[in-house]
Amino acid sequence: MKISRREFLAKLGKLGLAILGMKEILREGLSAPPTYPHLVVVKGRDMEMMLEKALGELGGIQRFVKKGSTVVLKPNAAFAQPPEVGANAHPEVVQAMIRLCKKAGAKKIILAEHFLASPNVALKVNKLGEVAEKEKVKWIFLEDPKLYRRVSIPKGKVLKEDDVAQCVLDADVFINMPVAKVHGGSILTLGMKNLMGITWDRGYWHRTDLHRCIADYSTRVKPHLVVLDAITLMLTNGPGGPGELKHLNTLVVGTDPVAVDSYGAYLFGKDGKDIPHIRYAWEYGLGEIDLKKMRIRNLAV
Amino acid sequence: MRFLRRFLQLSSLGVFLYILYRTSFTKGIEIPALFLRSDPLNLLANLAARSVPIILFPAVILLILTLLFGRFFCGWICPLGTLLDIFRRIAEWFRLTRIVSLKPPLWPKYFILTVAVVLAIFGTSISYVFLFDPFSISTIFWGWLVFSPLEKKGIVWAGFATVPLILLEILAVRFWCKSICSLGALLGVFSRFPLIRRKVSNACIDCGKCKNICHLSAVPDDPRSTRTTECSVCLDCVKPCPVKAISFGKEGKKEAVWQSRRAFLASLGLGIIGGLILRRTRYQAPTLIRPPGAGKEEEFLELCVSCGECIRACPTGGLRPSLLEAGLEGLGTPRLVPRIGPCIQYCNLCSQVCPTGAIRPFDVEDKANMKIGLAKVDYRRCIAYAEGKDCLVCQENCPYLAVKPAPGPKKAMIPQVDPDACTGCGNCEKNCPAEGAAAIRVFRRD
Repeated sequence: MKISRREFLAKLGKLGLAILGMKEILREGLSAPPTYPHLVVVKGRDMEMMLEKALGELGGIQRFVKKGSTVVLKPNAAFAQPPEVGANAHPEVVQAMIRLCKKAGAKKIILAEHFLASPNVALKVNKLGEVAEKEKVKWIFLEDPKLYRRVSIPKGKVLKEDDVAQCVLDADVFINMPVAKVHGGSILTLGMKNLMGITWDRGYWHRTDLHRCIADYSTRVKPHLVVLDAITLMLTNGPGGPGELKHLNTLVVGTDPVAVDSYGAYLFGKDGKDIPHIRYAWEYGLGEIDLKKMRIRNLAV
Repeated sequence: MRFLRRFLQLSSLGVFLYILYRTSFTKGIEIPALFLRSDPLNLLANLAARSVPIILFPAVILLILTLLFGRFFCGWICPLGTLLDIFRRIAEWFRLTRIVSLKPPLWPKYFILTVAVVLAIFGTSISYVFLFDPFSISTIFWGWLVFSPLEKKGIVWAGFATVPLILLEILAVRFWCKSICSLGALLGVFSRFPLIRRKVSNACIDCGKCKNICHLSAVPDDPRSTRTTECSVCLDCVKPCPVKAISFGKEGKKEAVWQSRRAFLASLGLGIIGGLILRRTRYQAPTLIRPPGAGKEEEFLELCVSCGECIRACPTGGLRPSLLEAGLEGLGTPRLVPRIGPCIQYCNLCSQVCPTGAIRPFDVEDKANMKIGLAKVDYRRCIAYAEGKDCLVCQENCPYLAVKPAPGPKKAMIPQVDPDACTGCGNCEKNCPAEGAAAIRVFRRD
């Protein structure tokens, strides 16, 4: 069969288009992520139910915690204040998270914190020690520089390198569990600020530029999941308290650290862009800051 | 009998260690400082402070028992004696004991005791005497060195205070007990006429075996007599006696050890001069922060025997022995060093363990009203004030809301201390990110 040059070119063109189309179809069909919401905001009383529902919207706990994996939870546990003060992640939230991880088949669950108060005292007063005992999981006190590893932070503007807790670097899954409260130094303390509890020399951050360092650190340390405890917001005297409280009975769950923090700021009646470290992180492209552009799923349990 | 005694000694050491081990915030105290509370030397501290020692009733019981049985405590119960016996065994194993063999004099401990009594009558601190007390030595040795390893300075201190005494054991059996132990001296004074004592029958052939065996040099040149002030009723001499002449019961021939008249006068003199010197050199460093529950400084110094219990108990490790911060008199007394560890809100361990009441018992709920010091900001070094950095870590860490944010000269908020709310706990000083010394520091009030 003879083909004219024109026909040949036309066929070649069609074939090319077809291949391109196939490629497009393949990409769309096989590797396009299911569109999870940026955030799930869940209200209720039963923490385990709330977390389970919220995670269901994000693809279930199995999406994050695979069977046999090592999970590090970083609750805010630094203060020796009882749970009702709202200075630490609520023990029930932490317990619920541990249980879910266990259900998903996590091999090892570690709780880690670089404390402000003496670790044993803090854990006794804030009841997070009790939770760990009940669930038979281990606490790691990050009170020794040997427990950290120095990493470079290529995208950092001020922090070019810093220490990160080894257990976090070595874990399969890292879940950040901040509590929402106001803060003397950083205005608000939410998810990204909570990562200050897995670094060694916090003083350096204060001495250089706190907000910039928080954002820089987040370019390097990215939690797989952020569970923001907004059960009780601490409105004054943060972060240690006791201060005025606002009971919201809310958890904000998401994978986008900027989105979670921006929503957290909104809970305090603030714009995420007005909190420098959240704005910097957004400028680095770490996530979405504009609530209008986010897909937010609201749930009640 | 020997087995029974060893068993009692070891279990006594065991109980001592167990109590000391439990003396911590997380484990919860069961019987706080039982051993130190049964130390009659503490009564001298109450004499110095002219106070009634109610919490020291175990010590009174021990004194009464000593009147009946002599210095049984030294041979059967003393945790330091047990430690020395164990160490002696180890030293013998390594043949260290063969190098020298001394005959330590028996009188120096009485010398130390009279100095202590004079100091107590004077109303000055007897904490120096407690460098020669077996309970405080044991507390410092086990509590500081073994259970809660300190920072370098503390280790040097604890090592300096305890290890030489233990090493003395190489030179002679129970060197410490024979020669130095001031508690042994006090018990010795009370066992001049014990009801139960060594009795040697006329069958004695003067072989001198018991004299060689005795660990505490309680057998004088005439083996038919006994120095009851030294005898620990260990019963070790009963069995080896070839003619079975030794028994323990009523009415044995006895004699007592005391210091020479010259030494006695010298000790009185030393006590008076020492007391004067200690009084004249009273001093309080501006950063001398006492634990909450401590009364006025003079009262505290009189009562505190620097036994080391509170320093062992402090969960943050912030309580440290003073060197000269409280003058010569306050050597070894506890002071809070907030940069090492603050005084935390939910704790009153130091008051629970204090054997003399120098740190008075208090409720943790009252802690907000117990002002042990006052925090002051050094604005020249404060990074929020001087450099305009976002910080306020001191405000973050203040459990009593005494640090208030205020507008600063640059864009950052600066800390301001509310003196009415500040307790001087030092949480701010501990966590201040300024390099080296903190920019917010706790000072003595007044």
